[in-house]
Amino acid sequence: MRGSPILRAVIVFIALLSLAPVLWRLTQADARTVQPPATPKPAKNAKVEARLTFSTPAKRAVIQHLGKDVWSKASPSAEESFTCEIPWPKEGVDLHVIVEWPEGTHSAAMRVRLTAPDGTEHDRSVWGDAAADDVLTFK
Amino acid sequence: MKLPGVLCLLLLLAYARAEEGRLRVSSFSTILTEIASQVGGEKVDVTGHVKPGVDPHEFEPKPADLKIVGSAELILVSARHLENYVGKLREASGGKAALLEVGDQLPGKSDDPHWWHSVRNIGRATEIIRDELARLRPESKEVFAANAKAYIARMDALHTWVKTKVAELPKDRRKLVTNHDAFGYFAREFDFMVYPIAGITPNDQPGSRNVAEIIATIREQGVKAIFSEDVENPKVIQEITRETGAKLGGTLLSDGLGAKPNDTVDAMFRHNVTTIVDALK
Repeated sequence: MRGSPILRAVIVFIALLSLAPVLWRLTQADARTVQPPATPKPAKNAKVEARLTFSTPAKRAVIQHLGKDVWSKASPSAEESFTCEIPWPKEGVDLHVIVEWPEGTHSAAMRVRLTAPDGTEHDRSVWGDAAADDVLTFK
Repeated sequence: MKLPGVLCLLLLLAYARAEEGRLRVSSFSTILTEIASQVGGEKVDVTGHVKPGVDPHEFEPKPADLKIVGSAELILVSARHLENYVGKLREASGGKAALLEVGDQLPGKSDDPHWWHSVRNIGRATEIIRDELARLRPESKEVFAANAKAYIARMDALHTWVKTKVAELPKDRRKLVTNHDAFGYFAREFDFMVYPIAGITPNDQPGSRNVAEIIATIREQGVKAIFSEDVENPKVIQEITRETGAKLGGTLLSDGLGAKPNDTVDAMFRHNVTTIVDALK
């Protein structure tokens, strides 16, 4: 190659400079492929009707959903009902149920009947002696 | 011989006699070691050959282990194809010891050997071991029954705790991405979907196609966290977190009890369930 070394260096520099945008795009392409996982859309809150039936008068009853109380009452009546708004995904819901009966109680039960947002009826029960602490699945 | 010397000798003789009467058990599972120790109490002498934190898929008994097996009266294995050295144990024992393949006596025909990820299965395994100890030492039957009852009551309380903790997690977020397929029993009990990167044993290396599918699933399902395991190389998991942006939810104890403080069944469950629920919430 003829010409001054300075001219040759300038030509090489210009050639490298023209490649710069291409190299920049190629390296950025990798970074763009790393996307955080799509945030799962949480199921919307929906109205759920609940009816409780106690076989034996209870001292206290608590119903929790995702670790938070949705209903609780001291000395509940034999029949109780309430409405709450909770997310109801297609996979169903778990309710944590805690009931305390007077000491010496044997084989007491609390029946939980739910009407899901789509109108379907669900029916589960917990049994215990002086107490019951269980998770009921509705789906 | 003076009186103190005579007393020492008598004590030594009494100790030796007590040791002699104890049922010698060789256990090849950290879970079964705990159950046998709890049920047998002072009536048994349990040697745990697989230590907490050791990968049972990789474990091979050494000559020292086989020597102990040679003098054992009962050998405990998880079964369901986890221990591929059962033949060596039989040979070492020379047919003198009873071989109890606990997993094979549990309900279900699954080939998945990780049955201990169901607390209910731990309770059933306790009953199986209680009955075997009673068969070998009928004179201690009542002690074994009482110890088993107390241990099962603790497992029932643990099961209630697990159910309550899992109930904190919405059902549509119960998606478990782990290194190898060890949590099937837990998943079935608590409505989780499991997406294992490898197969049932850690030796089933994940193919690039499988990894690509897992990455697509994590993105599509919006899985918030994925989990590595105490006995695994977490390299693939780290790569997937980099590719997907999902966070590393923590390390799970997949193949038995972990090192201290997770060296009990109770601690193992509390560690695993808290790690899973808190990361996916």
